[in-house]
Amino acid sequence: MTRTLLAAVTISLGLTLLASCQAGKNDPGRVYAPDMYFSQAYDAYVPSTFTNDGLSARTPAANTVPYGTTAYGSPTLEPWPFPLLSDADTAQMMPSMRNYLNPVPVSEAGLASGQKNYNIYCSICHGGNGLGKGYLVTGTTYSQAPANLMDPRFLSKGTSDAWFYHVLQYGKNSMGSYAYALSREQRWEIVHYIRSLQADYVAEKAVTDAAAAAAAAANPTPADSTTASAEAVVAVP
Amino acid sequence: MYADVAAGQALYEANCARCHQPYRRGTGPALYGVTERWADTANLYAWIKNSTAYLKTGDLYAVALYEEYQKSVMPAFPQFEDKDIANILAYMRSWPAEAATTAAAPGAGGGPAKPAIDPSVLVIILISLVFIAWLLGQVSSFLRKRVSEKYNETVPEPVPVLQRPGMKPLFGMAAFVLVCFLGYSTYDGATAINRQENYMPDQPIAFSHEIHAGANKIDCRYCHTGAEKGKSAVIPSMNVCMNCHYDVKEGKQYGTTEIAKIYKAVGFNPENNTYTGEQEPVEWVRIHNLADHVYFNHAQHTMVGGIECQTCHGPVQEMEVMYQYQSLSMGWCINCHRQTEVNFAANDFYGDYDQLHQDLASGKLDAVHVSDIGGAECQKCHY
Repeated sequence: MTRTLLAAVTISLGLTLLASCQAGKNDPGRVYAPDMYFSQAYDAYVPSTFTNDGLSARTPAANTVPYGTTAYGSPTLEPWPFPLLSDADTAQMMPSMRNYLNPVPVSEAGLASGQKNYNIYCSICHGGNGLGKGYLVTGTTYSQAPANLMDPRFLSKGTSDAWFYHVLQYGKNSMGSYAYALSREQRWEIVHYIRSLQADYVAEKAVTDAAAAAAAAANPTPADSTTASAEAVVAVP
Repeated sequence: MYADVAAGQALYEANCARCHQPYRRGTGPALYGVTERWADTANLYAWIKNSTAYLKTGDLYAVALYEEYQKSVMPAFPQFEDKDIANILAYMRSWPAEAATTAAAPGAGGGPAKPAIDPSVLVIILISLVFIAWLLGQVSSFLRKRVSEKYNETVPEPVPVLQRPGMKPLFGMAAFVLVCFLGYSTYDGATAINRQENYMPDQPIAFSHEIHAGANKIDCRYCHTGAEKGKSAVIPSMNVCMNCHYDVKEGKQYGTTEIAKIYKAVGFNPENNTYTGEQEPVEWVRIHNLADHVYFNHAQHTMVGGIECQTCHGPVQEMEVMYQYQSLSMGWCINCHRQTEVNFAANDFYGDYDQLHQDLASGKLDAVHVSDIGGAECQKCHY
């Protein structure tokens, strides 16, 4: 009887061992009819034995016109005439940039698209309201402060639409280019949306400022600005 | 003269923090100890007020700075009075020195990973143990035989295993279990062909969706820009990583090792924030494989169908290591096409389906499912 028991235990142990055999996490498993499963033509990101750099993805030839755009005719889709230059040369380019107007007309759909793309690509750093306090800055430990798009120097006359587009195209300071994700039209739509955010901000600020002024007029106690930060005063050699 | 640290902090955050950080290089230099680095504080004031004008004086330290930071120009701050600059510098002096060292210290809890035991090693150990047991059994029976021969004992004729009592039903049972097991594993293996559910390969860079999409709340489409534009959702190129990792040079989990791989691929020198131009592709391991004879388009599902990424890819924002969540089998596709109601009324894309719109209006149909508009037709996906 013990022999029977021993055999039963051995068999069940062996079966358990067999059943626990499974593909490792790096094993993609088997494929039936591989010639139907794997593409003969290059799939996305597949390496190539044909090209010099081993990549099947090629850089488009110079002067390639992106899908959905035309080379001539619509100013919307004109290639960006301003090159990426050093800060000093960019400053000289600013006046002509100021004359370059947003070629995409404002529309409901365009603003909605601008809002959507702003919230995907911009708000994570610049904040949903453009105040430069996105979640990456407030919620985690990203240390470089993004631009406050409501800063006076960005408000309507201070910075041209074309400058916003220029930065979306090439990046600025720590910010990278967003041409990888946004079409030319989408970039202009985002510029419209930033302008609408700024208009909201200015209108709201006017209301709160007027309320504050009214409150100050009704309650004329002069605020003592010197005491406000007295606890943080230190000596300077 | 007294300086107001709070006022300095406000000015610093509004004007300086975009390009400067206390202890690490940003677009401009780290500013901890900046006052000590300038020989003459008056020059520092002039530099802050208008760096372009100050450069013209030919101060060697300023020119070296300008060259070191790729000739990026610090904007002029004509609105700053000496008092404002003093406040900002006072704020900088209020930074603790040790923060620089604590930030560099290895993070707590990041001990060395426990070495996992490879199951194949266990199998080898088990097999060798069984072999040793068999060997010892042979030795023992050989010795017993020699002892019996020596004392002239009669050795009983060995009974064949199958004729021993109780062995027949046991072997029968074992054979039955074995047949069941083989049948099951054949079925299981056959259905697993072309399936990769839970496939979780090692990737060349230990990228964590849990950190990026979960903790940092970065939108999926920030990196996977193709999900709403075309067939492929797009594996982001390394310049997308650099949007943040230009500044974020150390991760919470792996420190600098994984981020260094980004820099290597993209050709970036984190010491002075310059690109070397020496790039190499990152060979990510593809997880979601559809057979070539199946057509799938991301844009159709996300933009037209309004399907969330997580419906097919699972809780990616909780995945430390990315894996395939759904089976991606044809049955799974068809099942979803039969069960998913199409947002028919509110989407112009479906405007042409006059008959279905009429049936909906007359109450003949409660809802339109994907299979009603061709979602179960063979040639919709196989062509």
